[in-house]
Amino acid sequence: MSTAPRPGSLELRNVIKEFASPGHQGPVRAVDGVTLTIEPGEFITLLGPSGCGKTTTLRMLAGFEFPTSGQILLDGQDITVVPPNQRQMTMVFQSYALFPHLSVFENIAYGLRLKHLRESEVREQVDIVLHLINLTGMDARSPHQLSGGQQQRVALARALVMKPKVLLFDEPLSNLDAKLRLQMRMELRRLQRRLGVTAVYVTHDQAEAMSLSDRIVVMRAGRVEQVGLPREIYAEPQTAFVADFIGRANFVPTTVEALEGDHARVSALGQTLTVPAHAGLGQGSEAYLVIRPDALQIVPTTESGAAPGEIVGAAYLGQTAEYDIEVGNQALFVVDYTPSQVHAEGAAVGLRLNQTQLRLLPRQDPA
Amino acid sequence: MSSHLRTVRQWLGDWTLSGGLVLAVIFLALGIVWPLLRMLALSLSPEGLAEFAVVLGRGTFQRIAINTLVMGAAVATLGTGLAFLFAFVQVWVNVPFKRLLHWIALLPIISPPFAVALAVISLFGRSGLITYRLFGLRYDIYGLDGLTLVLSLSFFPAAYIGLLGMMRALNPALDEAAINLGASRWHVFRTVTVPILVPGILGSFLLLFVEAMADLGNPLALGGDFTVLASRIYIAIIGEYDMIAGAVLSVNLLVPTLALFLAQNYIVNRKSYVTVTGKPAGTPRLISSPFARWSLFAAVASVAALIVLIYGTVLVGAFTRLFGIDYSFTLDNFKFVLFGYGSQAMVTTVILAGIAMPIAALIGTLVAYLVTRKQFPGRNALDFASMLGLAVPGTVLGIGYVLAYNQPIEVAGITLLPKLAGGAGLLGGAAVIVLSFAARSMPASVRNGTATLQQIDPVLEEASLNLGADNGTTFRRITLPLIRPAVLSGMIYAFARSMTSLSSIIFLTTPYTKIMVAQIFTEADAGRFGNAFAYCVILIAIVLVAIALLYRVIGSTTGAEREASLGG
Repeated sequence: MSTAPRPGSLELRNVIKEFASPGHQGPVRAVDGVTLTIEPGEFITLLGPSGCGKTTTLRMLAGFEFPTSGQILLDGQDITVVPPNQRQMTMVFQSYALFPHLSVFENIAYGLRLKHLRESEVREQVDIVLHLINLTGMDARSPHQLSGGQQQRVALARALVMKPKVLLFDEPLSNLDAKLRLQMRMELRRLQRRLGVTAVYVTHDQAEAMSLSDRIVVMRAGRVEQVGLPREIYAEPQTAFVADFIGRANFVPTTVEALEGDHARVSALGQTLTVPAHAGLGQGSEAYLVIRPDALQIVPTTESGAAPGEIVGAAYLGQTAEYDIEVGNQALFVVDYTPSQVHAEGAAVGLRLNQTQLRLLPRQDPA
Repeated sequence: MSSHLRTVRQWLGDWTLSGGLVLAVIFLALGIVWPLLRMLALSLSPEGLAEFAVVLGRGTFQRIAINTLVMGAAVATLGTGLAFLFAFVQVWVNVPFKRLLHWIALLPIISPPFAVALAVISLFGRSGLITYRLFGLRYDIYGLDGLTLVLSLSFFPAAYIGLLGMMRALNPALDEAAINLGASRWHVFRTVTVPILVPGILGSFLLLFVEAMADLGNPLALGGDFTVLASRIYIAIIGEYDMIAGAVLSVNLLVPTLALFLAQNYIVNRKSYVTVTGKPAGTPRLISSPFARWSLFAAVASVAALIVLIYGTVLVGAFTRLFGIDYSFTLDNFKFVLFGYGSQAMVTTVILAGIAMPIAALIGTLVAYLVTRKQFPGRNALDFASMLGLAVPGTVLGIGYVLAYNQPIEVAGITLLPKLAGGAGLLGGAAVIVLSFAARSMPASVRNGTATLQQIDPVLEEASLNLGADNGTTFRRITLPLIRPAVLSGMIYAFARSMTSLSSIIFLTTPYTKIMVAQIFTEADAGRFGNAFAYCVILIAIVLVAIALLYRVIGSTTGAEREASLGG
């Protein structure tokens, strides 16, 4: 684009949104005190299961809903109750929301025309974004004459052409087939980097969140569960919910036996383990030991220090093999990333734990 | 700041929303609520309450009330039967001339209220072409039998459209499932088809009941000694100049019709298993038994033949000197209507209905938009008030108009609204007639608009707001183009209904504002059937031309429709 827009910063201060619900006594809280700062140019993803409040949060950013209380600031200015048409934040909708009675060109030009630009200027800017999203020559088509992927691009172009301070994405890839989804994901990230625009992206797809985001906001029941880099969210989950929602994890119940500096001593799988401590867990606290499948390695039973286990379920997937292995009374999900041999159900194996990858978390219902 | 306060701020900040709402509220207040309140106030005043006791105690009133109910029930039964028969044949029976039968069934929709009645009198009355000329009978068609026939034929098309939609939307897989489980066709019909259609059947029964009870023109033309509430109200106002009795009788007509209307609304909206808008999932299995097929065809064909005969009589009657006495050919009737004394009414009616048409369609669409898309206090009240124009019998509303607008409305010596009704009223009484036309035909636009808006994802409007458009621009550039077909059909309905409605304006016409339907009544009453028929023919022609013009000007296809047809 000729003049790159200055990316905006966003701040949410204790934002609460309640909806009246006929079935319930009193209002239902969809968003329950979200506080969040989004830096200029950052790609941030709101991730969570359906009903976690991520879409409502996005709709409050767009101005389609007003918070019950709390504040939203764009570049330091309070926009909490600014009407949606005065926010300089454009959105890519899940259903694309292309105007069916307007051509591709008129769809993209819709917002520009509202700015009363000269016709030549409208033409020029639309051409630029059409080129940017590889749809040059498609401008006279009707939306229904386009494929799903092309419709998605037009929706993106329509939002980009406005040079918004912040781009909002509401599960934009969920209507595409798997292969196209991967391709669009890469393209989205490339475009956002190139234009430097701030982006807020809502999804329930963790792979999308991990691959696109600078930072991920994991939400649950209207609250922010954890904010962090994709690597932090996976490797250092702060709650059992996050550990369970992002990637696979085994939750082994245990008790903190002793605290030694920033490490804790626990017993699990017949072994005494030293793992990073958790601020919320003192000596004697009930806890979960979180073991990612990649922290477990299948070894011969004879290897010293290996926990003895029995294969109770096996699935060979080609590149990997997945096992359910019982150790004591505990069933563990284990992935063999180099399946040179396939273990049969009922086989006795040893399991080696990589202690540096283990995490200790407070007991909480996993998702 | 509370969210309630924020909602208020949002509305005040957006003049399109608040302006549109204010416009709709003012229109409904003037067109429906205020006249009804005036009528209720008079009937509940001390004089009114005294009249209640007198009226209700009279034996004649009880007979009239029973007459009204009997006629309503008879029309509802026969009309629903006809509607079901026609719809059933369209969907499940392979008969010749299917398309033609469909159009014939729709014919009575655009006819003025007297066309069918006058033709039936000419054909089957005391000097009827068929009863007397053919069979030498002096048959008395006036009364319940004639009324039931004429009203059923006049009103069944609306029920037919409703039932047809439901039958088409029925999932054929249900039939197939039942047959697959071993049921015979007849068994499937009894145990699956009819039970699923019960809400639709009941709905059309109640609809026809209300229409029959509210009708004024046919009881006046065909009732004879068989008086019903609507015609009794007319006699009270026009013959006895007794507004109090008129108001009291109106309440007695209003309460049952409103109750039936609400029941109908509830059944059709809440209790229906069938979504009328749904696309059929397959092809319905047609009736295969030749006996069933041909006897159904015979039944439908004979009713269709009767309708054709009736409209043929209207057309031929317009070129005949005096049906029943002198069957010679003449053009005098058309001369009278088109160029003579009668042309005034034609011009005036077209102009007034033409003015009411866009008002009804635009305000109706606006109300539909506000009710389906926006949250505001009083939303349900607005929705309800907008439906009253359809639910309240025209005669009742007509009295309300006379009571409300026969004098200027003044508050503290300041005239808020000049006298509207009567020859000395604003624009010779034309303004109040336009108001009545628009108020009576607006509900169709609300319904069409609501149904169409529910098909359009609100996210399109959000996308427009998100790109910087305000609510007004969004409504104009996104919503309105997408619901254009609904607006178009709302306009057609408004024009046709205004051109053909009698009950609501019969008390409002003045020497300066002659209305065609009232003229037809006058001509028929004076025995000049030829003129009346010519009026009917011209009226039907005007409505057809208007429909064609509207299609040309507005068009009926939008991108959304094309998309839907391609997607399906």
